[in-house]
Amino acid sequence: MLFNSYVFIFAFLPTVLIGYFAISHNWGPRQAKYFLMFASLFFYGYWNPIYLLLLGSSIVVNFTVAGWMERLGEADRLLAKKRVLIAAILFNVGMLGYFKYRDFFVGSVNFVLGTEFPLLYMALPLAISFFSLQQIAFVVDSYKGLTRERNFADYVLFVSFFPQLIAGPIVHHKEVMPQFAQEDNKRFRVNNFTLGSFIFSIGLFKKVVVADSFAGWATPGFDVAETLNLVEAWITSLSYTFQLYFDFSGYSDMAIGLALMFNIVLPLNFNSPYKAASIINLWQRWHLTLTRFINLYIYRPILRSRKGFSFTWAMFATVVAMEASGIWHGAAWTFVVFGFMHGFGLVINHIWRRRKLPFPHLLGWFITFNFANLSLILFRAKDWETVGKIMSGMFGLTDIEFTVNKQLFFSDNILFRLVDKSQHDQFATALLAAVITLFILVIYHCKNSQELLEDYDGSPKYLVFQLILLIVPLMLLQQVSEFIYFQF
Amino acid sequence: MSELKLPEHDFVLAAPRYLARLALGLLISLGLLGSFNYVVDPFYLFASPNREGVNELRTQFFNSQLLSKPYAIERRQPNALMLGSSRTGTALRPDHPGLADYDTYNGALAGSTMRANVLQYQHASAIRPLELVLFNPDFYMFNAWQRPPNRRAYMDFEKRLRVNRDGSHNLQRWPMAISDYFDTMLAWNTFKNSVMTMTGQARVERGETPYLTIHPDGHWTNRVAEQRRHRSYFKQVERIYIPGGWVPTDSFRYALRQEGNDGSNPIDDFRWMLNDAYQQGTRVIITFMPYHARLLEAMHSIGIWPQSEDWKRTVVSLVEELAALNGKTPFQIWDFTGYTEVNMEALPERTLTGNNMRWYRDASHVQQHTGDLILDRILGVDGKNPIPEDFGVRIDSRNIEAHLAWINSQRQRFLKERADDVAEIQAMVEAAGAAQVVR
Repeated sequence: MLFNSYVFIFAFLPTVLIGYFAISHNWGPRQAKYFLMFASLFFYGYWNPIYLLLLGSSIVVNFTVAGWMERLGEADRLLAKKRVLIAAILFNVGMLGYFKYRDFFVGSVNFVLGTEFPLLYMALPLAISFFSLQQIAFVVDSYKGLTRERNFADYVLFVSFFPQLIAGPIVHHKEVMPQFAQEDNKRFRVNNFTLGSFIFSIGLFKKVVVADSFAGWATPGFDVAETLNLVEAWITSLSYTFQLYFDFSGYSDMAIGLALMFNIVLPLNFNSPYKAASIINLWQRWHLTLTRFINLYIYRPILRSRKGFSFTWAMFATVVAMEASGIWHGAAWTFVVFGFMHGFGLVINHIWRRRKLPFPHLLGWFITFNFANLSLILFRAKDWETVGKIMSGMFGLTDIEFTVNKQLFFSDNILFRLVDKSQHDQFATALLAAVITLFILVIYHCKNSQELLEDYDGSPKYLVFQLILLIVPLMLLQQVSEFIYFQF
Repeated sequence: MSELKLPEHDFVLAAPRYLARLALGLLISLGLLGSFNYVVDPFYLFASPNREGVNELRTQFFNSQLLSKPYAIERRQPNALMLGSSRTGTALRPDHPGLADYDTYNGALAGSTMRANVLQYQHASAIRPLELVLFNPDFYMFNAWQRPPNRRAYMDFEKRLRVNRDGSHNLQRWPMAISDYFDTMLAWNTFKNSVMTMTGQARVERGETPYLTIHPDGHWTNRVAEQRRHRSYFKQVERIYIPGGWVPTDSFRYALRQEGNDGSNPIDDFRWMLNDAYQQGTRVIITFMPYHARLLEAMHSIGIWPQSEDWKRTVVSLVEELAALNGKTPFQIWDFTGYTEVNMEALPERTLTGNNMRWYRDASHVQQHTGDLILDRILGVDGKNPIPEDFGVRIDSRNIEAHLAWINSQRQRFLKERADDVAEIQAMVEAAGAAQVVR
């Protein structure tokens, strides 16, 4: 079930909200948590019930392992505890490896050695990348004694809580589960519901109106990459850059808003990343909970594996961490290169900063934004040929044309009836250029969802604003489209 | 890590009042939108009545047939069903005198696959036993290499039907119906089409767009726009067929059966339907609708004529084989393709606008009165218009070869008498890079 669907908005969400607080009020919070747990599992199983087996087995193994490590807590059994931790991490990584990376690995072996090992062409089980990471964090924290969960139902709810199950934010057990236990949070809080609905509306608008509109220009561009001229190639790549941001940050806003309706505050995932004036700053603003995970469980352990601080070693750890981030996003060599590109970008940025060399802010923004834009071509392209064609188009190595082919980006748009047919290409170019320019200004100047939430005062101005944020996407929900991050 | 910060100041409107106003605003906006879309009903999903100047003509229905027709069959519960592509949808009217004894619905779907037609048959049979099916299969439908242009739309279509492919009850039908009605009422796409329907009434009157509308019995009227040059429209449709009308342009292949595609070849679906109809005691009449002779020349030029002859032989042989297996009399098969006076109708002069042809609307679709003649012939009705003697031949295994030979002999006359048409078609095929491309 998608957040951006009528069945979710008008059936699932009201039922679960009313059910949760009614049960909490009448029977008690424990029963309400059971209800929320089953509702979350239903939400997940709605796509394909068979995936519940996978999620269930992952939950059972990780919960068992955490309990086991707790019992091995004494100092003289630390080695055994460490072995259990390694086994648990291997289990999670192994499961991810099998379902997500097996074909990539076998395909690469076949390519290098000329073998013909069969590929499985398995569909990636939904949310596996997210619930695997969240549970790795949990077992590591359990090993360190930073968190503890003895109640199986609570653990299931921690992993499967529907607002964040499919694509994050990736949360720590200790930042979410205590909130369920707080007395105040067990009853319906109308202020939280109002604020949650407000931030949900922003996310819905971002996804359905903005991201899906950009998808309508990015997708055909990537599909016919070989024929793109200079302007078309830039519009294609920029459209995807905007699509990805508004899609994922829209999803994250919806997740945060939904959780808030249940009185649960989730961590932020985005903080205006395209305002960043350096690559370091970009990663301090983009997919924050993934960056936190990479930092805590990959970067820092590598850094600490050597005594004393060494800049070179820190840079090595940075590249490895970014590579892990790249490969986490997808099983393809393009993602491997994406990881390296950002790893080396960060290294250059750190060297520059270490030498305290000045850099104009606007130039820094311009370079960072274009760096992100170029690297996201690797993110979206289905193969290297497409990457090459789009980049050739962008750098004028193919066809230097300054108008787009209207047919490529627009099929039947009512606006084109205002213009003579002979002017359609020019009109399409002007329209796309205006939209792209407008959104560059929006991402650079406008407030983000968090800032809008902070300013919220319940005035009529906000009422009208939220009505628009809701009505427009509700009219567009007929063309339901999945979130990009569901495929990672 | 940035934490979510909630506002700490007081709200201008207390949250309950704010929410109440928000809910009211939503209710009013969506209510107005839904009512407007319901009244105009551009896809004829809700069967809203026609209102002059508003929706008398449903000019936007064409791309939503997979959505609206399954529900129309539910509403009307026909015991006679017409099946096929747009060539059937636009030509055959269920209120023809020969069908007076039946509750007939034209269930044809534009550009549809064989699978969709068979599913439509299954759907209608599950609602009410069918006494008569007029099935007009198209040559392209039997191509095992052909893929539906919009897979998502076909997947959704299946969810709307009474039964699944295996005949079991379709449990997805009710959620899909709720979702369809809800989505269609509130969608921007419907709103856009509602507005276009309303503005379309005047545009049709001014002759800017075709007179296009669907009728409650499922057949549709489509007349050339008054301002449109008929000859250029005719050729535009020819260009759709050369060569993409019969073969996918990425492979240029035609085959009745594709290796490794067992059980999902169109011919298997057709076979299943014939067998089921024999067993249920449903009378089926199969008709090969008449292409214009120029399109037959296009088939020769792109190299698909031999396959079209094999296709007809296969249909005849399947119909008789399954009749024998079920101990029944074989269904009637009629062929209206060929080089008769009807099929060879001359194209209008270049400058003439609006409808200027007697039998054809374009190279593929005939006028509705031509459809009446076809129904007169296959239903044995003595209609008011005399039917050209050689238009429509009943075929079976005894005369199929002679019939095909007769068509080929008649072609010689066309090649000789209409050399300009032949040269023009060959030039179009050459220009499309489609000469003898079919494998």
